[in-house]
Amino acid sequence: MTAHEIVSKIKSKKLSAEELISQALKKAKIVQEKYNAFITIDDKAINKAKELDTKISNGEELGLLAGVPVVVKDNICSKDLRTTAGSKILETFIPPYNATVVERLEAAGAIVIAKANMDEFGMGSSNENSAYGIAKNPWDSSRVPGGSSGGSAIAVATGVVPFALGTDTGGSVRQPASFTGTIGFKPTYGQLSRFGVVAYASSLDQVGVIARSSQDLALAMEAMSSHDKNDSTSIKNTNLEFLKSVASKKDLTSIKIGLIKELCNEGNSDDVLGILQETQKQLEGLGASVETVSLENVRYGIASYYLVAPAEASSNLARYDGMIYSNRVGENSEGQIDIMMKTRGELFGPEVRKRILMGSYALSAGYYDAFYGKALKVRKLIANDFARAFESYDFLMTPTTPSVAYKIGEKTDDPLAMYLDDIDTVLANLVGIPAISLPMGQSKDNLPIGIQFFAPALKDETLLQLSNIIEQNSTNFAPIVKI
Amino acid sequence: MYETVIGLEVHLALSTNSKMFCSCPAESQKNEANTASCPVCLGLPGSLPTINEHAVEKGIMFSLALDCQVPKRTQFHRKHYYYPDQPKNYQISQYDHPVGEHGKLSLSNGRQIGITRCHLEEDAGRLVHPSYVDYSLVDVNRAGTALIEMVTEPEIESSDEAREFLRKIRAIAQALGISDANPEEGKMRADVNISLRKAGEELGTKVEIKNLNSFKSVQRSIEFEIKRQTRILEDGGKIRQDTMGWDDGGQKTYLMRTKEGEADYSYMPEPDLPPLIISQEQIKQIKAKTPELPDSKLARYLELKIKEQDAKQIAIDLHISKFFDEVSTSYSGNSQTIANWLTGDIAGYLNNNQLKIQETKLSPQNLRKLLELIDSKTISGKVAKDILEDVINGHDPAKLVEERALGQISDNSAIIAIAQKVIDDNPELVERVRANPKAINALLGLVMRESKGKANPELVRKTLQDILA
Amino acid sequence: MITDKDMQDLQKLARLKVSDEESHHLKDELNKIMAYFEQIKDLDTDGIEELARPIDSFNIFRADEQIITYSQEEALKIAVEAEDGFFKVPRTIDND
Repeated sequence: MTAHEIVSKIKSKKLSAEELISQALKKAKIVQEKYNAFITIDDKAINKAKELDTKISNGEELGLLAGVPVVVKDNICSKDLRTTAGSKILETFIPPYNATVVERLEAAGAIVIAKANMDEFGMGSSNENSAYGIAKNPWDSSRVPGGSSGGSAIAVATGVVPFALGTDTGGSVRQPASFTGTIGFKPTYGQLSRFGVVAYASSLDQVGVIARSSQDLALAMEAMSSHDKNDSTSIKNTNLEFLKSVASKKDLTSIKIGLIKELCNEGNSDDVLGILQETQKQLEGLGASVETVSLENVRYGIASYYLVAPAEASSNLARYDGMIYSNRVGENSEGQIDIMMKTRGELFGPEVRKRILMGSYALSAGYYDAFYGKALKVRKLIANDFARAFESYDFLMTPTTPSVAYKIGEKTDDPLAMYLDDIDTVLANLVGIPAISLPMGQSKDNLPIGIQFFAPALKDETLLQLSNIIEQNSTNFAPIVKI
Repeated sequence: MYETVIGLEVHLALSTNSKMFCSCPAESQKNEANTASCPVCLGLPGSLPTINEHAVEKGIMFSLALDCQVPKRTQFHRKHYYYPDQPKNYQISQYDHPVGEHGKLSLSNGRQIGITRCHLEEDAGRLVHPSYVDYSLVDVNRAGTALIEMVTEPEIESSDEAREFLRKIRAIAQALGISDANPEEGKMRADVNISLRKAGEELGTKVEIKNLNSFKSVQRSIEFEIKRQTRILEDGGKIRQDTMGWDDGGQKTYLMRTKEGEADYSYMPEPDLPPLIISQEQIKQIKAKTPELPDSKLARYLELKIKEQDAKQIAIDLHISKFFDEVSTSYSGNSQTIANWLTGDIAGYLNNNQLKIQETKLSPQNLRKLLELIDSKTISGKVAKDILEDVINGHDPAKLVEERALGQISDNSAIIAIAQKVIDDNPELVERVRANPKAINALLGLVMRESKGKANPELVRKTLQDILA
Repeated sequence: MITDKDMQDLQKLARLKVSDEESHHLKDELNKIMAYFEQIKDLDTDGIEELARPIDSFNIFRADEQIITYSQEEALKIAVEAEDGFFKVPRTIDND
């Protein structure tokens, strides 16, 4: 069922929240068994469901998402429910507060049933870097589900929940969506509050939504998107009306779409190129004009991203030191410096350790200008390229990732190989623009392939409209994977 | 032999309601540990800072008062260092384009001390180290409190100058209302950088002195260091770039640690906080709101022909100058009279009782009344001094005079009567006075005593002289 | 080129201890990654400003009002170790 359908059934009392949540929890446990999608499943969610049922029988007013079970990535703080960010260092951390986005979902009546598995602190593209075990792709459990929001993608792809929250710093919502045949949406930077979202790279992080229906996406965005005074990077006048606009366009007449030349060539697998071509045809069939456009500096996106992100990460993760609230290793008598070094050395995973050291190097005295500073300038060059392109095009288009989901363990030996897969997605984070991955088809081996669309900043609604138009004109768009 | 080169680094805790980057109450000394915290100042995962509007305004106001240039665009940076009193293990501070740069402050000897920069930042929490245990304790109440850091050019040349400089900064901060600026409560902290050199030579290696909690210890530590460094240099030795603490008990500096080169703070622009654009309009508004500075008050008082020493003493104290100004608006007499009382008997009383004027019940109106009672000869100066303590405790002097019948006896017949009585009772004294006219003071004293101090002294003297003539 | 000494310094700077074996391995990986970044070194970025924040907002302030959030009990609930109302941490040499 879509979220829309759930709310409708709940409001018309055809279903009780308790039944619904109970079913969702049952399914979650099966999915957990098979794919390790979750770090914590919250059985207490049934109490929230019961409370909602009481509200319903009292005739109280119900929110936009009444009764909808949702899954939230485990780097988004949920009050009184363990939040680990996929790391041992926060293994027992119970936040005393809700992230704003969770607060808003719950205020709208949604019920969080589980915290999703993820690459530790968001660092990874395969969910192989979790301290809570590898997650598996429901389309083929010998393959990765993508990352870092692997668990969230699995939860949606298997139909446990109609939508899930993830976070997207370099593609971590879009790429797992692409690998699991779901829709993955990253809004404009500042569109969704980051308050309560465990920071990886502050100038790149954004909460994203994974769903199977464009209307559900709009519903989720409507509930969560508005200015948050607790987040100084939160957009002030976000007058977006997602619900109103999502289904307001029927086709793509007079829409101009630019295929980014540098990213649509031999770097991609044949399957991906095939689906790219089919997508182009479909778009043209719906009235859009599709042309190739060159954005010269996009090829430097990975270099810029993998300098900016680890640098900011080394700063954001400095607070996890075993002193105040993060887990501690060692005896007090060893003294504070040694405890910090031991704690961080032992409780952070290898990828996190690597990126922290890399980031510290990039920020350290004497290297700032050559690395971090330079990367920030390259970022501006890329932003300029996009700004120029958007003068002529409504959307820009690339594959979401150069290939389909790879086998577990396939890319862990070559650090650069995995990083290079992010070449399409990091651009949206660097520039701050919204982007969406749509499940446009499958490979010969029946593995999902996602195609990515970018829109100018603040044009989030247009991406949801595009998604809806394609969805309405496709068969078997974002199917639930039978488990 | 050697020139002393001193630079000061001053931290002022801003008197805002809330902390620099969150809405927790700004630290109160009296709070129990960890009672003013939130996700932000605890550095919890996912927490984000928000900029305190007032703190920025105060920072700009202070910079302007020190003649600094305020940039059009300023931003916050993260300054990284690991320490348990710093929950995030970075401090949000400012690096390039701080809120004030290239200012100056003049000293009474005419020298101008350059102010390199003023910037806004957040304070760390407090660490407590109980004895004989293997742990330390952290209190985050102070973590996140708004601070302004001010750094001077290495242009201070003596311990006296350093002390005067700090006094002036304190007076300015208090006059502006941006900080309580009292070192005793930790609202103003000063670190000293000091080096010696021979005239004409390059700057010597500087030594840093920290943990100075009074202006006196700043002065003494400088004097100690000058001696210590001079001895080393004269022996042909080299000064090490040490960080020293000040041992108040032993009155000497001690080695805290040796600095091996500059610390790497890995400054990074704060991505969670958009920059600040400061318009000319905003600067104008802040200037318009800025309270009067001590130097300006001093100039005013000098123009009122108040003695320089008194004028300085009054101008430098926010509350005393406020008090003075209030009295002088309604007092028609000589301003010096007000000054005399404020810097004399009143200051004496406050000192003896360890009070500040604003902590007493002394009102400007009551002081004015007291002075007017003296001027109108209703009471003598001596009586006024006698009742001063009660006036300071809030009593209306006019009422006191009435209740206790303290009115000066200026009635001729009454004075003649008392004078006559004293003369009759003291024949030997009278003989001495006839021999030596100066001895009349003894008779005068007796008459004053007889009248319980209420007789008008000039009248008594004249009356005695008339009678004995 | 990152050296073994650089790796030791970085570990201190980042308060993160790794084994000698990992340090060595990471050094090689980091050098490989850094070599990849060389490509941006020669890009002409004269006159280009650093894009540290992808949004162009400024002057975002909060009113100077007090809000009490956590009591001492609530604050210490998250503590790894607490004592007498304080967060208890390993012995810290008094720095400044």
